[in-house]
Amino acid sequence: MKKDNWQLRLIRLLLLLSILVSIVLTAAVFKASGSRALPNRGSDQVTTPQAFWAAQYLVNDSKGNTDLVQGISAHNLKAVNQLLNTADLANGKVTTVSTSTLDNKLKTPDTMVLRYADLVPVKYFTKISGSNLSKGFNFDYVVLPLKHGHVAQFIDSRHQTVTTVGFRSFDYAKAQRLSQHLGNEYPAEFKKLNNQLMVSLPKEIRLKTYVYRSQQGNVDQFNAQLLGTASQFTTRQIESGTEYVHKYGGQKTTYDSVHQLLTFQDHLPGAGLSSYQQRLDTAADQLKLFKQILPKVSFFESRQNGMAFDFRTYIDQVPVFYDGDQAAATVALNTKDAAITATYRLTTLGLPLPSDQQKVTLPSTDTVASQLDKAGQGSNYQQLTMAYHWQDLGDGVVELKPVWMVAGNDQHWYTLAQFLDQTHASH
Amino acid sequence: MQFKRMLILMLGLFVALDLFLYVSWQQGFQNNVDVNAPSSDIIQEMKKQNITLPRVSQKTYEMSYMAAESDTNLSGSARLYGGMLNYNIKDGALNLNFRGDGRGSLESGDSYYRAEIEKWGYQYNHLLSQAKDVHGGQTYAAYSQTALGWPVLAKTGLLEVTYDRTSHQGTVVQHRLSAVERLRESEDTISEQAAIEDLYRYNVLNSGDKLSTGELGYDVADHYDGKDIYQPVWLFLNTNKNGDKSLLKVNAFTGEQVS
Repeated sequence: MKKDNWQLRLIRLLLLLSILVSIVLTAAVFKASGSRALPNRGSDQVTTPQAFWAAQYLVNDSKGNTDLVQGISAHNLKAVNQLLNTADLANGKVTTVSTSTLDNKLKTPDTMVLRYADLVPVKYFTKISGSNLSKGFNFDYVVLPLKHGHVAQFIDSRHQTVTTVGFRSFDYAKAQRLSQHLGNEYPAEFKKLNNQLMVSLPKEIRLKTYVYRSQQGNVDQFNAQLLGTASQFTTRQIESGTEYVHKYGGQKTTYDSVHQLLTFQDHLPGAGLSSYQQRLDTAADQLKLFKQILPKVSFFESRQNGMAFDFRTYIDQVPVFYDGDQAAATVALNTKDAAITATYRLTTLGLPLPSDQQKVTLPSTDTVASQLDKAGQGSNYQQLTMAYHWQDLGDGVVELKPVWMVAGNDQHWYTLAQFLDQTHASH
Repeated sequence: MQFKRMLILMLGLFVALDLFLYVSWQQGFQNNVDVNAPSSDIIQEMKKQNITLPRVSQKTYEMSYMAAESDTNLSGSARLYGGMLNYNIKDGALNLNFRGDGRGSLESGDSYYRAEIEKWGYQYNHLLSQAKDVHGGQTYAAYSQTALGWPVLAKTGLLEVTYDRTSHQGTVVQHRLSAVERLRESEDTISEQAAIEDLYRYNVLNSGDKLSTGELGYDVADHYDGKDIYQPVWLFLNTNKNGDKSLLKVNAFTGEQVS
């Protein structure tokens, strides 16, 4: 009898244990199947091409102080630029505002402001179907909320319009987390200089000088993307270099070995080029071909009333300027004969090299503006930007030196020193 | 008695249920891993070509470029080796001959020496050790120095041990990096799967090849101002249908093959 009791107790204990194990395992099975289902969610999610990531990153704290953030890690840069990709926009409202209202909107406390190189279409960033904004809109600043439930403001500073949008879904916590440790912060303001809204630095800023190996691009690699295999095109020498013409399509490239430029020309009948967005899409398609060859090249500005688009290399959120103002890639479009002319600079930045150069102190934006005023050039420029200036040190070594660049009224870019020298010469 | 039988029956049922749940949980786990398993068209094409692949991962990592000098002050290291017969330091490398003490050797399998070497900042490198053809009675082990958290795959960061089991004599060739400097901010590498796909695109892999799991590490890409410039690479050990082994490297930022 005693033995029976002992056996009964053991069976009861084992039964209890197996019931408990089955509960735990059931939970584990459910959890595992739940996490497997996750990757299927949001398959229509947009991924912003790196060429259209923001050019500058600013954070407005709870008191309304604005800081420009530099030196952002690749990981954080990706995360910030993907914030909108995973968002779902609700209905929005478009308003035209005064300059002072625009300024206030950009300084909204507890927000992160992303400044884009120029106007960019919202469809590059997030899905907008199912919203009254499904037609899309362009913007060059977006003010992202860091507090739960707050709205985002997409700003078109050229036309002074603000599109205020709520979210059906947005990772506020992630936005807030990212804003707290994004990079090195420098005080900043939003200012209109000669009718252009820009991020102005009230204090001087110290930037590193970088040294790189310069890398000679391979013409064949570019031609393979633009024209196809070597059997599909003919090669001949012309005055400006070597010309490669597609045997059937008529597309051609010209290689200028002196300036290391490759120019591609084609006609795109049927490709709608009438709107800014369509033209930018066409330029983006060109850049997509060279994602691997030109990895750090991003949108820099539109020129000629939105008919040409410049793409530049960015290092630490600062654009690189070569001698002369030829960008890393320029895509120019002509709506009349649907012509496309894309120019690629074949010499690019190669491996980074160590450098014991001291940091360079750049003067504040106000100091630069007053220098230009004093030189009588106060109204002869359109834009100012911090930049890295490409200086050839020989032996395939390039130094990137921090400078202020000035866009003259002739739509060309000059270093501040060059611009002031020019002024001096013209007087 | 009837009650006891019922309890036994229930216990049996619950044990069966537990087994079923455990198996489905494990399968679910396996399936979860399979999300990252070879799935792309190129991977499928490679399988059709009879190329044997490891279970590949789509995970990317954050790495940066690196600059370092070769440490020429290795004489202190020589004293650390038991059974040392003689040594010289030439071209930044410590070349040392030693005699095994009978209890073991510096070969890979010897846990004592392995642990010692790992204390000096090196890790046993399976792929590099496997890649070397050794003759009967000999063993070879390669240890990679760890720099910025990743193994150095170039000779400049290796400690190589060759040992002859018959004569109980061996040699060590030790290189070491110093003044390691991170160059620029970290960037995302390509995944192991992308690196394998790039190898296939560059026609490096042939039918009958067997590719090892990839190892991410640093390889010398350039020299500047007395320093070596390192770039992240994916390293694979490929064994062809004749059993010949070769090491393959892919630039982990650009996907280009590195010779």
